[in-house]
Amino acid sequence: MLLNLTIQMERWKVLSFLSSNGKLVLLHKGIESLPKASKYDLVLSPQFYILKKEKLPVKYAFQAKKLAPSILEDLLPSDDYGYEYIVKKEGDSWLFFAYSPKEIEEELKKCCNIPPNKIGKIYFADDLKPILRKLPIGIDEYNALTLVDGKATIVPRSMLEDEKYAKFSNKLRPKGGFSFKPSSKANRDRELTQGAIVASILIVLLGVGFILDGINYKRAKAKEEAKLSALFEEFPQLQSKLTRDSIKNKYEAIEKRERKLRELLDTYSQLTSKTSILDKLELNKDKLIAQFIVTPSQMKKVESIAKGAKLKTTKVNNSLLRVEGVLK
Amino acid sequence: MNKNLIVIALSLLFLIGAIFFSYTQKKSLEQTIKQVKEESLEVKRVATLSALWKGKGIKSKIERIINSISPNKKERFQIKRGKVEIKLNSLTDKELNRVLTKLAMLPLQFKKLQIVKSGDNFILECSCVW
Repeated sequence: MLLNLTIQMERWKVLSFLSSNGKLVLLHKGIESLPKASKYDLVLSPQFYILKKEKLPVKYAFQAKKLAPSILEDLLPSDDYGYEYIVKKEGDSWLFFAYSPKEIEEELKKCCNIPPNKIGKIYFADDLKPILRKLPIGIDEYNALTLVDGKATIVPRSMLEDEKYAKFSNKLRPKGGFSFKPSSKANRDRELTQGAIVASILIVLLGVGFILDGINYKRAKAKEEAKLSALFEEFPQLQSKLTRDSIKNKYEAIEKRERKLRELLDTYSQLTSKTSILDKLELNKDKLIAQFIVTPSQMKKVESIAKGAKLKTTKVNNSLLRVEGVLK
Repeated sequence: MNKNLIVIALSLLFLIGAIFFSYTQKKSLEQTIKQVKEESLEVKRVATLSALWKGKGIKSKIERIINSISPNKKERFQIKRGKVEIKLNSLTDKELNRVLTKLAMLPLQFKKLQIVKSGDNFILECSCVW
């Protein structure tokens, strides 16, 4: 028996979880607190809406709704509260409701800091007529909701003869209900939030792109460093910059001197012929000096060739030409 | 509103951090590429120079050149620890040209080089190291 009852309770819990209904609340001005819930369905007290009953020769609700602003125009305050209109058929008449989402949001914010996105469905106190015909519903210590001329009205308890009041709870949920349309400010806030989220996601994605780019650079850098490491593995003695500089300076000086010496030897060999014979050649520290025996008729020609090769020439006598080349 | 601003500010901060990270990595890569290029060139240059002027098998090449000259023309021919001293007498101009050209083709450092004409022939005296 106890087990069956427990199972039944669990089923109710599951059904209640699956249901999209929020916590049903009777919203009236001066409300002080609300129990915690993820979603609230509101039954608006007459303080939050304007109601007018009108007979109109229209058949469909959408046609009646189009006429709602003009029908309720005289009853609504001139403040720009951005009213929403709802129409319902009652017998052969139409019920025209106008409520201000902004006013509802402000009241909820003021009393309990509840944001508009937590508001689910809304109902009107006039939807509670079947209950109100039997018993008034107590709102607080001093006021109650009852029917006056067939319309839901808040009156002081002292004006009522009844001693009994219905307690407002989830069980009193009326049929129907409408999805709450947030005010333009709330919509704007929501759009701003959504925009901010989208912008943030895009910015973060861009940032991720830059990070991936940076990681690629890092990998490329590691590859470059690996190339150098491979080269140093091949020439381990050249890892030190000092060693490299020392070897380079030593061999570059040698290379420069020896190349120049060979160039000079090649130039001197071009100066020799049957009419110009090498007499002597000597290598100094920084000079290669040669002396040629030249037939006087060829002297000028040999001398001009030597000068053309940027060599210093000195005529020792009519048949002797001294040529100097610098090894630098 | 404030939450939106905080979210955007945080994502912008993340973006700035990411851009900075990418920029520093790029700069670091550019610097590394430059450094690797310079060091590789230097290492290869030093290795080439070192290999060229520390040439192996030079001794046998010198011996081959000098041995092509008749022994009676060799007054001095001495090879010792990377150093060679040569004095050749009575070389014809062709012999002188051949010996000098071949020696010059070897990676030798000439410390002394003297050629003197003696009659129709030449005396070559040189001292080289490697």
